Amino acid sequence: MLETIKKIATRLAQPDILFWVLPMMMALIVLGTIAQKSIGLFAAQQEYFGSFFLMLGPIPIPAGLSIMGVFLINLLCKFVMKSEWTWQKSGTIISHFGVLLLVFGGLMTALTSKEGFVMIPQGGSSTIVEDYHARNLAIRSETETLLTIPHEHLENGMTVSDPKIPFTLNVDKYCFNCTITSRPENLQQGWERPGIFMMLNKAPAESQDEKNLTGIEFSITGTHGVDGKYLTFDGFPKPPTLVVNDKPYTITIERARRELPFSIELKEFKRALHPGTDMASAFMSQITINDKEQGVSFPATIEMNEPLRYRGFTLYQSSFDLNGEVPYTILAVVENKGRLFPYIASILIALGLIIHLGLRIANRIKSRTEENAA
Amino acid sequence: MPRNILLLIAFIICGFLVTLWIDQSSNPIGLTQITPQPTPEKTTASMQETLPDFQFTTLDGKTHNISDFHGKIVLLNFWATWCPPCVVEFPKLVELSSNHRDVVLIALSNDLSIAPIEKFIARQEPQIQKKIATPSVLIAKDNKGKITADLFQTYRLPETIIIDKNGKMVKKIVGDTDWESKAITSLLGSL
Amino acid sequence: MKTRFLSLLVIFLSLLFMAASPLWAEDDDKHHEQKPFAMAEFGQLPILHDGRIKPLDTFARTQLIRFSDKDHIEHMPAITWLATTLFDPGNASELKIFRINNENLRHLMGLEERKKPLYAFVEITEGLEKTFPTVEKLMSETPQNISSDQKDLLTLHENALEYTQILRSLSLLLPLNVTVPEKWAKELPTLSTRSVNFLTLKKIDAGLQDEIKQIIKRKGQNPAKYTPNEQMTAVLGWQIKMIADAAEGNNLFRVIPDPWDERNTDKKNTGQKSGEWISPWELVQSGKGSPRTSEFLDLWTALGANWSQLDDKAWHDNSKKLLALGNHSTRLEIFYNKLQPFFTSTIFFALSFLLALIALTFNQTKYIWFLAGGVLAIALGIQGLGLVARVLVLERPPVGTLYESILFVGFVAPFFAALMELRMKNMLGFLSAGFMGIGVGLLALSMAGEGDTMKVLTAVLNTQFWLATHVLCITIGYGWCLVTSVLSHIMLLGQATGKLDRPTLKNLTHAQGTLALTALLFTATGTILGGIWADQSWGRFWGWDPKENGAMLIVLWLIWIIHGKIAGQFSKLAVTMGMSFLSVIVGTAWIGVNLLGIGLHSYGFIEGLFWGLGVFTVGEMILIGGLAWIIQRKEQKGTIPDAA
Repeated sequence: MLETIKKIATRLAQPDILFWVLPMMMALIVLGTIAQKSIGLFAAQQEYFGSFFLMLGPIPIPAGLSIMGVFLINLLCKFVMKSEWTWQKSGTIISHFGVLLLVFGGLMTALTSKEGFVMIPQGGSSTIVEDYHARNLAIRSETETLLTIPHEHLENGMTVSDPKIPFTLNVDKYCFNCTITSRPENLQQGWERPGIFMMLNKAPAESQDEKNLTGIEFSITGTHGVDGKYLTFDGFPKPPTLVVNDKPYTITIERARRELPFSIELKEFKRALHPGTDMASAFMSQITINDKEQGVSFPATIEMNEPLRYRGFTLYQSSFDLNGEVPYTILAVVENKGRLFPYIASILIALGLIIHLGLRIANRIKSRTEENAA
Repeated sequence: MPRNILLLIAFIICGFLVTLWIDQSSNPIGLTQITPQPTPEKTTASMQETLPDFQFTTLDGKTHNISDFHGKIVLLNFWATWCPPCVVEFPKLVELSSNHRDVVLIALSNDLSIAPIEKFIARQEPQIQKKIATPSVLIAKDNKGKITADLFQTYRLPETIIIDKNGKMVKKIVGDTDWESKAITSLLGSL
Repeated sequence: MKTRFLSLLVIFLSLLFMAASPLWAEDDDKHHEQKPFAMAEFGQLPILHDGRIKPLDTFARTQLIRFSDKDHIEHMPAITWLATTLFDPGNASELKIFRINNENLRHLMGLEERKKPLYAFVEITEGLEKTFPTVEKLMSETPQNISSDQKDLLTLHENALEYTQILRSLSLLLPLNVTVPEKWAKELPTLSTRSVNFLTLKKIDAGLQDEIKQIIKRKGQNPAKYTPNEQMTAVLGWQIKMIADAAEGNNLFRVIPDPWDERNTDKKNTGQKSGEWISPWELVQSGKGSPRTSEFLDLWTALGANWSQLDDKAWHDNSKKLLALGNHSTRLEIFYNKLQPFFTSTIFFALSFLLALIALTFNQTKYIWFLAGGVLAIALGIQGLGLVARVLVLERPPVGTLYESILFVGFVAPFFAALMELRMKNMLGFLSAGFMGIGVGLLALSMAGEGDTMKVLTAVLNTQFWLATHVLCITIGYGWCLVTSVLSHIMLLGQATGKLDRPTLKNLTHAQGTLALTALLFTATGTILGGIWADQSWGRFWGWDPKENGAMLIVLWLIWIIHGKIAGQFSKLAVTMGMSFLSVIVGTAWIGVNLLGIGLHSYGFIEGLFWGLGVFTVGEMILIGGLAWIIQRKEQKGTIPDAA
């Protein structure tokens, strides 16, 4: 048994695998990069690098995950089976070890990382991290969330009902990316605010995923008095609220949310411009972290290229919004348990290559002097 | 060979554990400035330019040097009677200077002659007129724009330069402003 | 952007009118035989433009290049052109500086054909007016729907707009050819009408407008009913208003530090290199004046007078005074402009390439080796000097833009090749160094046409640490890759022509391996460092951004060739071919991905670059393939016994 495993592993350690995997990987990278032009970074990432297979027309070709998988197995077997430590080989082995760690780190990142953003008005504070991509249909009664449905599950004609909700919601129109136009007068029949004046239209998805405006038009039945047609969409400041049996129900499309274990208060957002231009030279958020669990509170400054790491969360200056009355800062929030590996890996890879190069040059000089002596 | 497996596992576990350990500790990492930056108060933003000396003759015919007012906070107001916002804010400036002990208002008018200025003063409320008569308010006609335009390059009336007790020009206010506002009060208080 | 442009266009319309108005003191033609003014100090005067303080000399060059593709006109250096434009706009608008290469556009503008398609502002104004409605319509088009002819039209309008901004920059202090009614003249400080300018008129403006209102009240709108004196008043009032309206938003010529911006006076506390600077018009229109700015404007006024009176001595004195007042040294940049280091170094690279070629053709001698090496050292020295000057002027590491990365590779790649030569001593290192110096140098020169290449960086790039580590590391990696590729080309060429003997080939093969490994070391480390930077700045180690992918592509290519060689899947010839092809891979990863116009590193689509890269790729394929085919045939015939 062990022998068989060893035999298989030795076969899997062969360099011919790498020889075929690398061109595929390169081709995939070229295709995936060009695809970004048309379908956007996020979609290209998902399709080319974040999946196992990809359809190129009718032909399925291996995508990032499967190619990386083969590469990893090949390198792992090589490292385990065929890397006898000798001084001459040490550079190569260390470099390979570095690459292995890099890939494992990437795997760990893929498995553990969570991304999102917090939006805080100057003078305000927040604990809510919103997702960049995942959108939900949520039905709330005041602060209590009764129901959430991920946007992937929404479709035209679907019916939503739940024992906790005293009405039936029928999705008339779902658009992942909507444009909003005003509703012509002859079509206003049966519509309640806000749908009486607005209508949603399906639009092709934006290449930047964050820019997609997801929304639904829906009708409510089973109530006394508030039956009718409504609409709501992502980031709508006044989503429809129905009062049924003296209880308010708010229907929103929102980004999937999670809560931070501490709150972030924005003292001030600053943007420095290159003089005489409207080009920013720096962004800066002066914040205070209030951590009730740990009983600490401290001020911090987050700048471009200078994130704050606290309790496993890393907060980055990502964007801002100066259109409102007060400035808003937008901080990216990332949790990632694999983040140390690139640092270790880069050191190992560079070290290994330097050793290897050094040995190579040393050997060369040695053989030359021998030649000369002969 | 087993050594390599061990090595790999050891590194991965170590890397992971160190990350976890960092994440669990509540010490923030990446705090370049734990102490909040001393943000300079916007209102006290000082310009280092020193006031050049110049002479002006007030309506009563007395000639003053601006340097005579060293040690006082001077509101150097450029105005004219034909300029509506100037006329509106004028009484407020007078009030302000008489309410603050150290504040002197020097109002340089760009009218072509003295007559309209005197007429304008005569039209003011009696209590304002009384305050205008105190030494903390000086009104002068700027002859041919020599001070307003040539020296201070002021072309948009009203403009007011706030000068501190050391003769430094602290702030210039272009156009009219709310002289009773908090920002102005705190600025004057800080000088 | 679009709205700003539109609003500027509106101003532009009134400016068109102004260009023909007789307001300017049109003296006579004596300026055409201008005696040479001392421009050294004038050229050093600081101006805030595109986010950084630069000498007027750079500003003048940048603007002139923008209009005419050249940094001088006939026997007139850019700075003299600028002075003429500022101080003598009437004559300046007759200088032929607008280059219109597009024949259709020339036709549309109703311009005559010339040997050199250069036209004066006065020649194009009519066409600009005529095409204005078209331009207005184009403004609302999406960029994809605009043809290249239309794009050229838009560019011409934009350029003309920028030009009129310069033309009017000092219109507030140049003497005006106006008549002031006696009543108002006595209100002005100077009675000499020669020196009446907008600023002096501004003092009586309020009263003047008041009087005009009363005239209209009394006699109505029709000027025919006015007395001659009233007419004069009305005309003057209208002229003042016209000048002011034409200069609305004229804020290009920022030569005066804003006295009310604390960053200008208190550099230590604010930690800023500079604060806002303002243009003379902005100074007046937004009320930024102070006693200090009046010193500036007085000197600028004096310069104007000196220029019109051909008083070169006073001009020189006043330029010096103004320079002292600005208190901002720009000498280094002037030196840089004069030296034109990257042009000069390219010539020296070419020279060393020629020497190496001669040496190889006529069997090298020791002297020529030293000579070629010496010339190469000069070329590297000048290139290096240029880079150092940029570092000092911009106060940041040398590489922050695509253009700068080309300059840097233009130094490191020949430098590494020269190092290699010191070990091999067979002239091939010098040959490669010279070759890369020319190639990269020409690429840089072709990209410098956009104007000022010293640019300020956006916030995310504005970090000394990462510019100094990741960017330099990856750029050095590109350099090593190029050296590897050029060396491999030489090996292919040598084998195909049969000029390489076996010991040399063996030597080169070994050098190739070492070079490839070094290239891998730098590109791999640089790529990972880039990932770490990304992790530091937005929390994502790897984001599949085009530029990241490009860097990864180089790394994978190198790994592929190196492993294929070690494991024996590649023949020696295939390895050399693969290493040669590295030039295309690097070209694609380095410059090509920017053409996608997406992602963090995009610099926009440059059409010429796209086709250039395409031709280069195809050319390399044919060249490498062809050489390999010749070599293989020779092998089969047995001319080369041992396969490469």
